[in-house]
Amino acid sequence: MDIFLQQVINGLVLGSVYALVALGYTMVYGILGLINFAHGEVVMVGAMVFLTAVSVLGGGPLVLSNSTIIVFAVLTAIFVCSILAFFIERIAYRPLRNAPRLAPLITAIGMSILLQNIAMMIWGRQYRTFPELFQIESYTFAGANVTNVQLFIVGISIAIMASLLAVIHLTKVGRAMRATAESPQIASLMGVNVNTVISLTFIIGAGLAAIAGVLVSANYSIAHYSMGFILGLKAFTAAVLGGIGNLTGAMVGGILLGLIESIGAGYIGDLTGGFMGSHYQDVFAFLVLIIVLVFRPTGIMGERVADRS
Amino acid sequence: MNLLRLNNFKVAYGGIKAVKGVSLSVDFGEVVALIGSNGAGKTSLLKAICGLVDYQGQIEFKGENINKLRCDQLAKLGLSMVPEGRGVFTRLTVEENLLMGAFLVNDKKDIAKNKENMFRMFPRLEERRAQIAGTLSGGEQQMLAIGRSLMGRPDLLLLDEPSMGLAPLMVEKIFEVINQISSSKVTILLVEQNAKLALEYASRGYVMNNGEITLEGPSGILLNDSSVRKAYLGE
Ligand SMILES: Nc1ncnc2c1ncn2[C@@H]1O[C@H](COP(=O)(O)OP(=O)(O)OP(=O)(O)O)[C@@H](O)[C@H]1O
Ligand SMILES: [Mg+2]
Repeated sequence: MDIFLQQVINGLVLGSVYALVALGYTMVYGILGLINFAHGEVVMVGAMVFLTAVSVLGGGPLVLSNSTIIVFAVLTAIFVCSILAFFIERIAYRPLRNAPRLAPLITAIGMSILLQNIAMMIWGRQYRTFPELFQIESYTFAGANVTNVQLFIVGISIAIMASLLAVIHLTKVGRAMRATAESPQIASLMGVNVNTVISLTFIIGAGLAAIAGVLVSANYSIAHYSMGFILGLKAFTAAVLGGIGNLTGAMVGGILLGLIESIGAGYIGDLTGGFMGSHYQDVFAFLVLIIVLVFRPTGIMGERVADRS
Repeated sequence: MNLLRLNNFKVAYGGIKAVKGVSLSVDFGEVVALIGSNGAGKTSLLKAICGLVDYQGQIEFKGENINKLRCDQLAKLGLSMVPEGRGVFTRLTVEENLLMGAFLVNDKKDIAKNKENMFRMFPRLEERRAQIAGTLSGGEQQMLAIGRSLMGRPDLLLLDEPSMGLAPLMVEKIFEVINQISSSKVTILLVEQNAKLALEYASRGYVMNNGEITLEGPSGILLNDSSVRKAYLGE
């Protein structure tokens, strides 16, 4: 088996999920200059709601095909996460819009902890296994394995990111979002309701997070109330790596981080003479975060972290 | 009837009183100049009219009390401002900036027509329609900012120092444009450092000092007023 190619494939899969989540961080940062630490929890809620919806729909009186169940469950997850994010912004962030920067940051961390605890109360402490909704098939390709689930994850992520870019760059709403990100005051002079744009930003980010939550738990076949925390931190790292506030940067950063992590995990045993195993995978993300913050705080594509932090 | 009317209008930033009880009015179709030295409170006044900063006092637009309306709601009523320092969206293209100005216009044909009008008024912008606005020269950005405001077909246009930092030739061009805008039935409240030019183009003027209106009247009279000549015309 070709370890390198295998790790590249795994990295791309992981990276596409990071990219989806990183977009949510970066869009909110772009408009509010706020790091929404509760975003990882929205991912977790997406996975959990998906699971609940699957079991409700699958166990209900209607006989539905698996693909119908999946589609409805994903839509439910997107819907619930969007509403959740809408209220997070209204309740936790909007009242602090003009407060010193530290206040909303602490609120965001508090919101993250609160959501984890609520999720634990609703869905329990145990790991929840993902149902087998479809046959998992594995293909061998130049000495590496790739499953249909993995191909699906990468494919759907690319499609979603392309649509997002199209919306942001080619539509009137997207133009208003970019204008608001640059200057909320001037945008409002043009007649843009800035609060609506901010709500919309949270809702779009949450929709992406919900999908990411479903994909990541489908990939690992498990979900847990605490899964959003580390995932969120890594996606945040990806956003910083790409240049926070920059959409393309979030995508590039996500994919890169997935690759770094995966390839690193594949070789860490060899590098340390077996002292550290692949379960040290998480080290890489945070190593990357530290290195980027020290040597290039603006990230790969960013230009303006300095003037907004 | 007045298009815009302020009565005992006040703006303060914490303890700093920037505007201290100003009363002023602008009639339909007028060009009114507001002149005053640095820090007089002119920008604060314009920002407050647009709802960008908090204020106290009465404000009426088209005979309606517009106290407490948000900036975007005022835009809907036909109020537009070209802010001090232009405020173009530097990361958007020239064309996207113009389209942002037409954010509240839904008729696509109308937008296209209006855009053509802007390009006719400012051929330079057409040449650079796909260029990122942040890379335009100061004068070009000023044209873009004015064009962007006009895209929304405002009834009242507030201009905050449109000639700031521009070469004489460009200043002339900007004032030509102001004249053109005014003749197309847009009412203008013009804040300017260049008092002489502003008063030449305006029919009336207000002189603001230290947060208060100290003098008002027809341009001709202000231009010949000895205190104005001394303070603003360098005599
Ligand atoms: N955001 C703010 N916070 C505190 N004070 C402010 C703020 N904006 C303006 N001021 C103060 O209010 C006063 C009026 O400022 P303003 O910008 O309105 O003057 P101006 O007449 O437009 O001056 P200029 O001709 O230099 O543009 C000044 O003393 C200024 O320092
Ligand atoms: Mg000013």
